[in-house]
Amino acid sequence: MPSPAPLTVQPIHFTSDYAIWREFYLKLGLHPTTANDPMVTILAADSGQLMLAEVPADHRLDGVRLVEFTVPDVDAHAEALEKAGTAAPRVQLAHRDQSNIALDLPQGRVHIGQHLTTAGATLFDPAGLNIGALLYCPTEMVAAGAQQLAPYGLSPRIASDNGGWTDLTGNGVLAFHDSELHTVSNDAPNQPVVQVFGETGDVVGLASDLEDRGQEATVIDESYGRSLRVTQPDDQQLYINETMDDLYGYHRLNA
Amino acid sequence: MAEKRKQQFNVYLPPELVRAVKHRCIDEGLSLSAFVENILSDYLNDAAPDTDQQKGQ
Repeated sequence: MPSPAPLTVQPIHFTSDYAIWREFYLKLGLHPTTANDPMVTILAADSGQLMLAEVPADHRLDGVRLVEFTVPDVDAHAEALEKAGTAAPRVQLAHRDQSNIALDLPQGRVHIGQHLTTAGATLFDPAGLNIGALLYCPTEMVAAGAQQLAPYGLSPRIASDNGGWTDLTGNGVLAFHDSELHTVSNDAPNQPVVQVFGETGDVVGLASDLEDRGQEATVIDESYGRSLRVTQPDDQQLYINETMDDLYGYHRLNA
Repeated sequence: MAEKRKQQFNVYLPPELVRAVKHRCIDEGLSLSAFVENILSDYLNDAAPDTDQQKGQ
């Protein structure tokens, strides 16, 4: 049975400081795309892409990051899934022309929709900057979420032996990590909140590039490898992990 | 309770030691920062300095 087309991981960042965050993500190395509306723009990494959506300062979603997935042809994707025996229920979202596939993970509902741009629809590659979403949830949901999502077009890659981490790649990267789950009501009453994060094979090189662009960033050692911490406009840290080469305490899911 | 302020602390160590320390962190389920903080705090609390040696005697 052929695998469905790879999903493009697209975090959505809602903000009332639209211009400031747009500048931040451009400094990070994301690129403008043709999906460039005054209030909604998509910025692409070498793999994966991010939607920046403007909301009023007092909006309940101001500062919230969610995640969705996109495909070139949502109808064809749904048909391929159903042929493979994978349910692909459709929902019509208020602000989208075409109906989306609704996927109810243990963490909450996520959607698969039609590409507005294919700029970030390139497979994960450590040679470049891969953008994605980090979804914190209880340990018992980590593997379950990954297993449920995988048939829709992402490839499980690495998991920790203790069950606290599982990541999947496609166009971009998505990771489930054990911590407290937060959900919000937007297109569905229980959508999981994520953090934007990234991965590259060379965090030192990226740190140097960021410094040249005037963006503060620091490489730090972690037990699982190294991570670039980039100071965001809200003073929180954005993590860009270095692709792991020492899998002690972890194992490959795609060997 | 307010979280203790942290600052970055860069040191140079042999790569084999870095690797071994990271592996032990994973075995013990601790972050690298928490592990090193525990080790250094325990050492400083337990090991009194050799004052004679410090004075060069």
